[in-house]
Amino acid sequence: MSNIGTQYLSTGCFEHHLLARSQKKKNKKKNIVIALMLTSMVDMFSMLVCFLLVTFSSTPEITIANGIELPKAKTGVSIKEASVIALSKDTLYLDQIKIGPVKKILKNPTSFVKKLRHLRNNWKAAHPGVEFTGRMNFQADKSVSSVTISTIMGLLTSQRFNIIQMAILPGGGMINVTE
Amino acid sequence: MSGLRGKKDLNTELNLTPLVDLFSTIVCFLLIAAVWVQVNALEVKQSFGTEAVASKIQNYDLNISYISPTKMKAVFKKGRRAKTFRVKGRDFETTLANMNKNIKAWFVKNKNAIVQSTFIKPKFGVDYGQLVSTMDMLKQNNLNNIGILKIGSR
Repeated sequence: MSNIGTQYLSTGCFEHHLLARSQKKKNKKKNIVIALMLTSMVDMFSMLVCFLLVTFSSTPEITIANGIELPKAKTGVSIKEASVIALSKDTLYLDQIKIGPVKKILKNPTSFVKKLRHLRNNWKAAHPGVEFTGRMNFQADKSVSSVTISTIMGLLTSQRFNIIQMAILPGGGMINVTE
Repeated sequence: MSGLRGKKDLNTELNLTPLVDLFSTIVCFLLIAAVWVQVNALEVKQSFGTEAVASKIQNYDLNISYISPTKMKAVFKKGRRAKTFRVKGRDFETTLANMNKNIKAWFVKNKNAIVQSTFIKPKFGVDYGQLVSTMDMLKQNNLNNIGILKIGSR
């Protein structure tokens, strides 16, 4: 018994009441409402949005064909949208469609030239009254022989694709070693 | 006491549902529109037919050819006159660096010279990566009008 003010409070009764209440709670089913921590989620979303906005680029995304390791160069400029010729170690692709083995195409380029002509005619049909720009994006694996590259470029030039954008990865640099 | 009853509660709650909706939409859009690999380009201007004939006599042309991956030749041409440099190195990088040094020195000597067009002649044994490195070196020397010759063409 303790004296609080003028009233007497029986501690034994109060303990009994607490015990009974906890017993009641145990008997009841557990409440399964889980609160979502919105603060941390909003934090995460804000950071993600900031990061993506900073890294956002309006330049068109160019898909790099499988098995192509692009060379690096320092003086690259932003790429412009055009058809893509991709040259892996042994296969040639035109707009992601496999044309065939490079050796075979170099031996007999007729079908490839026809496809290029078709591409040029399609462009002209899509842009009536506009002079043909002759722009072509060119991707090639860095280990492909330069002679193969020049031969393919010769075929492109024969069909008036004379502005060729050679895809590169930013990097590389000037070497100042002298011997 | 009556004054306290009339006061408004100042703890305002931000409605998070539309905020989360907006964020999710922006995140989805930016993730889809993101460019993961930045690809740049080196532009090559190839000539065809009789287009290259109209070269000016006052300006120089530069022809770069590979003798082997470790030997290179550069010829500055102006009409019938020509100045030739031959460089070599223990590997391709050194050869390229030596060529860069020679080109820089030539530009210092011929301050008013304008190189109208540059042609690179490829060679078996020289790969595309090395060709791009050569073009990169030329572009760093402000030689922007670069073409690649086909083997067998002059």
